[in-house]
Amino acid sequence: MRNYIIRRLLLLILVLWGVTLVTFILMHVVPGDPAKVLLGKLSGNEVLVTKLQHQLGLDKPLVVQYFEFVKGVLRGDLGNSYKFKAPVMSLILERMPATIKLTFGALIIGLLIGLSSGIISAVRRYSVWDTFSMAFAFFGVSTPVFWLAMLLQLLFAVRLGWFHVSGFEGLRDLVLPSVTLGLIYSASIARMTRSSILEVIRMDYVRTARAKGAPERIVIFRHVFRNALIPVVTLIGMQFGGLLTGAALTETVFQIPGVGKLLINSTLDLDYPMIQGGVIFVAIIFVLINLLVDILYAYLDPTIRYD
Amino acid sequence: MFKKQISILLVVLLVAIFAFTGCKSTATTPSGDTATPVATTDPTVGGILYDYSSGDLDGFDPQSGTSLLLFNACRQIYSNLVTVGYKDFTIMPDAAKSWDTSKDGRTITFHVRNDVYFGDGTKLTANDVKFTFERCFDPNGPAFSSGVVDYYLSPAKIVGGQAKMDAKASAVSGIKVLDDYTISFTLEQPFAPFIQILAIPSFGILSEKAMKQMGDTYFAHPVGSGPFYVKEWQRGSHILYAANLKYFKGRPALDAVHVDIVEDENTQVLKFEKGEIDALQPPVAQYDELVKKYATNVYKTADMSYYRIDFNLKRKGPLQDKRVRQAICYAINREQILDKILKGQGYLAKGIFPPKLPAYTSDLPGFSYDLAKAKELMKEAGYSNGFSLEMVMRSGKMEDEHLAFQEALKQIGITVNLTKADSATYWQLLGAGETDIAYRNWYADYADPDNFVTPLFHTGADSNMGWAKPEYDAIIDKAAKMTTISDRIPLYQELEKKLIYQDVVQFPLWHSITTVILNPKVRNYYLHPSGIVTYYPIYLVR
Repeated sequence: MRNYIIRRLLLLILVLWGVTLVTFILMHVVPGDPAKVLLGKLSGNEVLVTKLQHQLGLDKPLVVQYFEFVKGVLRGDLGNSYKFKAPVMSLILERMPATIKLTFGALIIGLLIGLSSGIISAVRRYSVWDTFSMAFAFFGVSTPVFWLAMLLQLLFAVRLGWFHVSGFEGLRDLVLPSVTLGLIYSASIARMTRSSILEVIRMDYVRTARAKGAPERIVIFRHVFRNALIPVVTLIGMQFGGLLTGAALTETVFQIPGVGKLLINSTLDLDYPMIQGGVIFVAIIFVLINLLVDILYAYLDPTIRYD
Repeated sequence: MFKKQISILLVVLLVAIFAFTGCKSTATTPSGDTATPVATTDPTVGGILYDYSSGDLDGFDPQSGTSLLLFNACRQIYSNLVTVGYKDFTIMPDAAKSWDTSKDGRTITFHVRNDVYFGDGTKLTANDVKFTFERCFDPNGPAFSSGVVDYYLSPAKIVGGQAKMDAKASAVSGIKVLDDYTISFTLEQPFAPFIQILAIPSFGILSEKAMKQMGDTYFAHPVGSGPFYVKEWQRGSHILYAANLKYFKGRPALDAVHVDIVEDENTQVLKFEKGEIDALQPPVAQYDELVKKYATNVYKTADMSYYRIDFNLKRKGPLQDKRVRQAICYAINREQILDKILKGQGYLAKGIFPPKLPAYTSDLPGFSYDLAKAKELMKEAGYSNGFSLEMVMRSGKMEDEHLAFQEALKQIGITVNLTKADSATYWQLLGAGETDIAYRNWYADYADPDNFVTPLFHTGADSNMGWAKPEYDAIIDKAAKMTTISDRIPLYQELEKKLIYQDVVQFPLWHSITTVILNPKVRNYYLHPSGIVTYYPIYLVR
């Protein structure tokens, strides 16, 4: 296992190189000039455009620009944001606490609701519980996140006055955005858990466990649930990555200073260093989470071995 | 019996509220504004005002941009040499207690107060003023790319400014520190709006000492000498301004102002309804409902703005024919758009200058909606079968108006191909002149007609889509050099007639109105025609 982890981490370097190259090419293929974006109303003034392009180093050949960027990355310097005129790394790190809090809040709620309703609907298939939780999942999957957010704000903040409408100054402010995202994520977790359990529940070893007289609770949690978790863990891993790299809409509605909004805005502003830094950050998160998910596979299913 | 007593009590209470507080009145001033509640007694000291901003800042560098967001922030934390009134553009002393102008009108000498302190405890001197303006002309500084030099300083032509920008001089020879509290500015030629320009928040005075000590971090933790200082700034979340208790004009009535950064319009409304913010500019989509609900707390002010359609005269094609441009002006029902889409938040423009500007005149013909006339003009120009036009618009910005223009021009056979672009592409297309017409606006930074004609019509200006006419430039330059406003007005009015009615360079649409709904406890919240709200005079009743 240790060798596997080292190998995967080494692979991360290759992934990051590929990601930076593709991002760099895409950024320069897409129409738009960061200097003109920064100049806004003045973008018609060619003298200013040329001067700013020179100041930002955009007048250098693309190859030179790319290698300068890679050289910076190797030294741990992702450059300075054009817009904020501050180091990209510190801007991302500044926003991480809010994103991490939101991610864990949403994940806890998503897992609690998603796993429990998935298990109940699989075990009590075709019951009222099943119908109810699958209807809930159906609505959850098809509900736009901003709409749900607004409904929750209206009910719990404006009508009942339990929470602030938006803001991020205390743990209480974490509740509504976490519930919003958690409810949305719980829907897909519930559906995945249900179908996965239904698949496993028909397996011979489950029948054997029951034939041996094992209590139903033991059958479900020890034999069925653990084996059914593999696809669910994959899904949760992806959602976890998605949340860590930003939930821009939720952040906007609830006024959370997270990474998602920062990355989306950087893309719209053509803030090249910020986009590149953001992409590297996203890539690292996803590679690490995939690695974590793979390690969890081995724990959940002893037949899986990587060495 | 009991019910009757309650009713009488309620009536008495209501009468008392209206009689004694006067806070629900929405008196209409001659300009069409409604006056916000003002102080009737001594302001109550203390309390926090909760406001919001629809976008975040990049920092608090006054020279780094010309956006309203930045202007609003800088107005609270920096002092200028001079400033403007809370609700109009009257020039008032700020860090400078007085100023003299030389006989030739070229040299203006400012006498700086000796009781102005920066947040770090150091005294503001003429050297800080010089440092601030020298930084504006730094070829590697932010002012050259932010519009601060282009819009404000270049027209003023301070002696030696260009030499420093061209890296031919290390200092601006026209800015001289005469002693610790006296500084003079020498211009290449008299420039009437110069003092007004100095009141723009971009020229907030920086502390030389603090900037040299703090470097780039200065603008995340700005050291100013204004009525408030930035106590806390969490990017993307909020800004907390705390009262500067040593402010040279006396401490602000408020203890603090908490500005939430709320981009989402629905969230802004919900926050106001919950009482989490004290002032709201109602979004158009919910305007009618909100204005009806909070009818007694709705206030309006006419902005110093100009919305128009630009014709790209650089491009070959039907727009080269003046009759086609006139046809477009007659084919668009502006009243309907103003009423239905903008909910009446504006008034029709006959010319360039808004009513609060000295050069404003109502003595202009105007383009009233006349479809028959528009069709006739198209026929005369030989385009009765119509043609196609390109029009670029920013996604999410004024989309409904663009669709209305498209629909209106269809009636005279013009097919408008709308290109929806993100900000980056929009500015690129506009800058490159890759659009036939464009719907744009201009908000005055200072109350002088020059602030409309130079940036919008002077040859080489960035916002004029290639329009150039040297004889008009000569009028613009001549008027800017004249120091008596009454002498300048006829020149601007003549120019306005020529540009709009003789050459039809632009189609004036409307001048906007800003609406705000206030929490009834807020007093002295003045809506400035520039859009800036100064927190200094505001206080809260308990």
